[in-house]
Amino acid sequence: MSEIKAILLCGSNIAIPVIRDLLFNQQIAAVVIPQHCTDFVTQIQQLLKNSGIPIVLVNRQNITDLLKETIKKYKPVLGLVFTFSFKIPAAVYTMPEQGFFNVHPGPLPAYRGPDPIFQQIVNKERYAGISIHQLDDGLDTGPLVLTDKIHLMATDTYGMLTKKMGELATGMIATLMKMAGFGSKIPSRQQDHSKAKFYQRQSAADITIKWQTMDAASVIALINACNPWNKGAVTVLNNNIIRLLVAHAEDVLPASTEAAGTILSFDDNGMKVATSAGQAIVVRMIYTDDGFLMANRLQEFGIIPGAMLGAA
Amino acid sequence: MKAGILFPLSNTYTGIGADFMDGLQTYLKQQEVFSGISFIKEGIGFGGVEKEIYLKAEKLLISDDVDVLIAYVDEKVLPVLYPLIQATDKVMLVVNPGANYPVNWIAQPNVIHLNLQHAFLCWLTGASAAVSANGHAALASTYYDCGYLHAAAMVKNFMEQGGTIRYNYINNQVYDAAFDIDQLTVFLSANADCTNLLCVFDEKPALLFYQLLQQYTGAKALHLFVSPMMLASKQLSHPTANTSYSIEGYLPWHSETNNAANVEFVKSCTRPASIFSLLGWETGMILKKILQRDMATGNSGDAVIADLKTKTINSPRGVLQLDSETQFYIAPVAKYNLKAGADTPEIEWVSNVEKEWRAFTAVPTEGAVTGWTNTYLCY
Repeated sequence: MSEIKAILLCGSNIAIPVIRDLLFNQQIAAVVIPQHCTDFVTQIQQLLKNSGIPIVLVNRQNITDLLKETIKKYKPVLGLVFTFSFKIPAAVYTMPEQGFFNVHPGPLPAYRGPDPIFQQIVNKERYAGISIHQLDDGLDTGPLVLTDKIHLMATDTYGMLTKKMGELATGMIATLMKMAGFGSKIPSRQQDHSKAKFYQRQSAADITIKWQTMDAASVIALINACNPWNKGAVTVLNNNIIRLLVAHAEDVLPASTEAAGTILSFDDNGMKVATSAGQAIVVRMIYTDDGFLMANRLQEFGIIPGAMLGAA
Repeated sequence: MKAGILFPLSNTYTGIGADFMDGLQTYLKQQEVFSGISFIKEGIGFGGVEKEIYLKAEKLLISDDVDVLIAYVDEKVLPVLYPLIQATDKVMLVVNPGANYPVNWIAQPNVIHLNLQHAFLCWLTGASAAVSANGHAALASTYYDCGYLHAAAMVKNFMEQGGTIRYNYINNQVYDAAFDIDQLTVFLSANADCTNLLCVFDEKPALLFYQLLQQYTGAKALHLFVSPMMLASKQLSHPTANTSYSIEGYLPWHSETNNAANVEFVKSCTRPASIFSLLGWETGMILKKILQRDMATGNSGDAVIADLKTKTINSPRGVLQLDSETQFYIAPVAKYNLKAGADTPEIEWVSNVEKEWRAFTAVPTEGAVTGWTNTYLCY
């Protein structure tokens, strides 16, 4: 049985590969989850069934007391925070011998904020990064310990990238746990705060396609960044909201001079739409109030080539 | 300048540390920069215990405050060293035979790599085998040798280029009279259409393997595609008796290369020149570049590496260039070909391998990766 154990604070599925790995290596002292994450709580209860590992449910009011109590009782060497919605006070994060570490699914300091996975896809980054940093009083501002990256493919959806990030984080946390066992203080380096950028959680405007300014790659990036959590990127058709869920760029640039957002044609592959910069995309799947549909089924609702997406 | 060195031991290659230091010191003395660099050395056993390596690296970087850490370690132990090297903002030069490689090839800040490109050479060899005869092959290796990714690299590219593996023979015997290849020859006898052999062996089992294969009556038809260590010594690469089979592969370096840098290297070393002294010599060349760099851009790890990317190194094996993408030095490779019955191999240097290197490093390794954690040849 490992003597190096962590208390894990988490609130979403991205942490599941990490929990599995730590569980296998007997390195979990306790798991702490916000009590409003009910689906996630159910999954973790199932995962940790018969393991003897306590699951502590917290809310904004009781978090400090419950964390202090849990740390005192189970004496973890370090704390891990991975997608956890509450701020951890200094009185708590200084308690374990090695302190607390936040696993942030974005490169720091360039991608501070609550949802760096979304932003990295939207920004069409070549690589997606993960940073593990010491917890301090700021938001994603603590000294960096481990950073790593994976290739971000133009076809990666939010869901796919989340899964890959979870796997990458698993390896990084395994390294962190090894280092915690070496007996020295885990080394870290200050972030270059002058290069910091903070992204707020995406607003309704951020998930809406701006046909007039976005080229084909940008539209596809936004569609991927909204799949599956938002059921696609938002646009308007005949005063109804529809969401574009799956699309790819058209290989051959259309000679069309149609305005961006114009539906150019329907075929077996879906619906071809003009974007800015004289480009086009093929939308394969959409979500409407009628359900998840192949995009070419819009014809059944009387939509014909020439109709405009995005026009109010 | 202070340089820390983490160096491993090897029961098989007992001269590994002495050869490396001989190459390193000889070059620096010859260049009259030796007095400008002080060395602090730390042994790390066979290089497979992460905690030991970490604590020694921590001492060198924090207590001894070295400017450069030369780590003769395997890729597998590097993740625990990254936070240390980045926290101290120093440069780490990772040196090894190159039998393993990182799973995603994405460069880490402050870390550069110099190696003998063994996995890359195996990858190139796999492509040659795929277009030989009907493209069918048996793989022969040992339990030790196939615990490094060079074996996977050879097989992967062989299959990507259309080759088919028909049989895997993994020898787990000690390297003495008990070593046999009976199961392999039984397969080859029963499958006469399978004439290619992909072979990944270290020097000692390679010698046994060659000798036993020479006795196999069907050997005449065989075409061997071999890993670099199977050509490493003169005894292996220049057989005294004509072999009944053909041998093809790639070498990172060979002592008879007739270029000025190699002649100088071979002549200058106080011990017989080897692949380990070559790595030491090239490490000396990199240290000299660091020592003599213009400090206007600062002394951070990033600045040093950015500078090194703009410079080439005229090594005994040709011009080395630090790849901007992966931060591995790319070196020319020597293509080796010994035809059946011949006693002299043809060796041809290929200088520009960038296209092949890009293809080799383009695809991340997928699936579970297991293997030895110690450095290849350190056992």
